[in-house]
Amino acid sequence: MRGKKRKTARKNSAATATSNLLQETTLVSLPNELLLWIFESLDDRTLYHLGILCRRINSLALPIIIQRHCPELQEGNLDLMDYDPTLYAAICASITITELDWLSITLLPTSQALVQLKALSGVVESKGSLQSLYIILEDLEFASSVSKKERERICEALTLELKRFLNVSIEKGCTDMHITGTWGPLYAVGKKWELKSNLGTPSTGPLRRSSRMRIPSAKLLASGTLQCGKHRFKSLFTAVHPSMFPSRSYRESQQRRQSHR
Amino acid sequence: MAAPATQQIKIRCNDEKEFTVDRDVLERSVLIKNMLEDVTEQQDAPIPLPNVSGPVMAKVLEYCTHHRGEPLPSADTEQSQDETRKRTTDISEWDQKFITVDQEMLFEIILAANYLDIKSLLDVGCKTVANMIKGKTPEEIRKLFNIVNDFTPEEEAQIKKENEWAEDR
Repeated sequence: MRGKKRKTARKNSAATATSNLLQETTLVSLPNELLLWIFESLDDRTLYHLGILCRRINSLALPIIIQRHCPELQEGNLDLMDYDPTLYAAICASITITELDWLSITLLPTSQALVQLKALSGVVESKGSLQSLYIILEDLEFASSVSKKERERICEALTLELKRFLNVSIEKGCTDMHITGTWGPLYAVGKKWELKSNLGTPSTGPLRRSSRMRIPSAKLLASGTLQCGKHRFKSLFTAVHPSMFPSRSYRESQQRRQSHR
Repeated sequence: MAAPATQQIKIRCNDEKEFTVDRDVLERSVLIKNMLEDVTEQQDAPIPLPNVSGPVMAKVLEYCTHHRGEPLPSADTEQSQDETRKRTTDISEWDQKFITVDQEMLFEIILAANYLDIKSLLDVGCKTVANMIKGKTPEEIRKLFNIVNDFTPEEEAQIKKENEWAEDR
């Protein structure tokens, strides 16, 4: 055979790509299975860059990112254990995910939680609906160099952002919220939500740092203490939707728990 | 199956271009290998390859000739190859030189390798494309492959918005 070597060095040139728009064989000429083959070897960030170029590549590239982090994507279920800006952006930009059945998140116990919450609001806002929300709030931890004032400022900012996030979720039709954890800076939870403070019963004392509250039915928004280094805020906030007061059994179980301590 | 290695096979591309090639070279294509196994008697008529053009076939044959005699990946090794493929993007020196072609030819080779079922060539092509994409900005990729934006205005707005916080980390 006469192997005619075509060593044209001008590979990848943008000039060749822009000419002959329709006839030229290029990336989008490949069938899906080959595109997927290529995409699977790429890192999340590159995949995201690809995914925002056109609809077909979006529907191929972005699910790869999401499935790397949340294997249960298929059912519209997202379990966001870690905060990864590229992952969050991919979920938002993905045109294949239009609705969320449930969203499960762990809010990081760092100042990154603020960014994470903002991003989460963006995720929920970008989708048509959200059914269930599960949040695990980890204890906030501050470096000893952070002043008390600064801690309060951060807590307040977090509370505002959490409030915004919850409101966005409610607007998207979320009727089922489960909030677990000991993250307590919930000073205000918004107009739709009546805030009840158990400060009147200090005898019950603060919840232990290690305690995990399982909220049985979307009624209790948040509860717990705020651990700030050595400082422990003796506060137990219970945010309750006016129409959904905690059930008797739940209150009783809480009292039982507290009397153990 | 047990034909001598020197047997010559004729193939005809979609532009009427014909090649006469050693059977063992052609058999790097699983598609052709299976065809040859099925048809045992008449070998005079060229095998028609309606999905490949002459210039592309010339390149593919160059590859097959260079790699002739190398063991074909069996079904067993295929699985583990799938695993390693995801991690490695390195291409041998000869293959790298071979695949240094213009973009159109590169994608034509990939399509031909897919059609002809030449796994190793397909792998080289796909890795090359992956390497071209890596580390590029969306606009660079768009220009490189001339990708037409077909998002609806709503989708576009959503993507633009989220783009902002995805970029600053």
